[in-house]
Amino acid sequence: MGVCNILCTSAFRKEKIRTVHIDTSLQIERCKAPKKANVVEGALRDFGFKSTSSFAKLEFKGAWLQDLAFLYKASQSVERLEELLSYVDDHLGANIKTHNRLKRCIQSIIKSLSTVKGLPYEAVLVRVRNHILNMIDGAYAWWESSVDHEFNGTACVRASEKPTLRGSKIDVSIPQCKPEEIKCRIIEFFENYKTYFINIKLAISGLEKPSNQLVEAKDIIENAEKNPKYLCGKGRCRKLGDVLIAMDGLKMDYFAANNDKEWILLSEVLDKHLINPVREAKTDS
Amino acid sequence: MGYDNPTSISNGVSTGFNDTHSGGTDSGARTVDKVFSSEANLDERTQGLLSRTAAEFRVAECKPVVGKGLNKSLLVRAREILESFDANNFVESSVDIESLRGIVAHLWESATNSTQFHQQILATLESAILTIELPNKEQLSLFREAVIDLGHDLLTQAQVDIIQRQFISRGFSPLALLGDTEDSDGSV
Repeated sequence: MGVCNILCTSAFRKEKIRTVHIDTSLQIERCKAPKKANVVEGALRDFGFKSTSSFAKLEFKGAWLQDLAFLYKASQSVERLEELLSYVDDHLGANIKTHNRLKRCIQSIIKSLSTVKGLPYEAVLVRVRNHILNMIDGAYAWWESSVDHEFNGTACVRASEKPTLRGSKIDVSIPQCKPEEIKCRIIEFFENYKTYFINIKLAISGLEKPSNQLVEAKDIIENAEKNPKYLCGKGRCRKLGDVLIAMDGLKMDYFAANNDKEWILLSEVLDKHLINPVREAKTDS
Repeated sequence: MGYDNPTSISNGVSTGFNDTHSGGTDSGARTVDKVFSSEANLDERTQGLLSRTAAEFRVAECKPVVGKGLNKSLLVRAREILESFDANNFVESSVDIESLRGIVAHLWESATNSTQFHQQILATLESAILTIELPNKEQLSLFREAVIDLGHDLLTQAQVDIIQRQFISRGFSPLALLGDTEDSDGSV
């Protein structure tokens, strides 16, 4: 039975099982240590059905897994743990945002593992390297187990490509698709839900100060209206990220996300309730 | 191939993921290496790989890899602690978990000479032990299972996959060590 049929069954309607569609930003919080994850899990506990989008998984892969793969490569290139931070400094010094993100990542791993001192430096490095490897290796399995269903309206091929180890090299790449070689269903998806996409575009136009991501999304929708093939190539579909993730969850009651700048608008246009447990926890404290 | 330990390197073993290239046994990998060593034999090599069916690749992933085991006395100590773990006694169980953290961390000294499979199971176990305050019964039994697996000299990719999935199904995230990173504001 397809998920749409399941959602329409009498059990779901009679018992009023609440359904929630989760964005990448909250999925990332959920996979962190219990202290952080529990904030989100607590808020999601009352939902009988949780979903996400394959496009959220693509974002997850593009952000966390690619960062971790870079750190894994770095850990193979150095001989001591201390050199790992220098490696990140040397290779990403100019790119401040990525540099800081990766540095926080490695510092978090080192901090978590710092409970025991006095290990030989070879053991320390092997330990960190294997923890990074394990994170990448287990990420997709965790993702699949974290929700009841993953919507895949665009049939994104790149999202479905699991991290692959070839020899000692990890392949977490996301090659750009070519307009002349379309492998997914993004064009059909856009055509089927064109009205919603246009409504989102109009809502963005009405904002006084839309986020950069929303501005980009608006431009892409505008061009895709004239030529849907515009969505393919040059990574344009990825710039439409949150819009596609939201559209994938059209059948759900609630949206859950931690980036209000985009999701307040998306929830309003698509007539969904929005929850942001991270923001709510901060407000409470 | 640049794995962490010489045993895995010489064995040419699958280390997880969708390992499309490796996955042979010790002797199998040597045969492949021999073929690789001669450019003139490339066609033969290609033919050899192409003649392997998908089923054969899968079987290879289940073949065990022998490695120098982990420190046995530390593993025995870990098992003893886990077997006598009393979740009702908060002080004692907290002390036990702290001891386990120390034991698991020191297992990495011997892990440098073990196989990739041992290292991956050890990382899975350590990540869970570091991120949990006190384990419940199910989690405890999973820790015991992982410790028993680590005591085997022979491990397979299948065992690694099973252990990893069991930890996930008991609520352990493989990415939990990233706990101190800032909240994601979605700008991923």
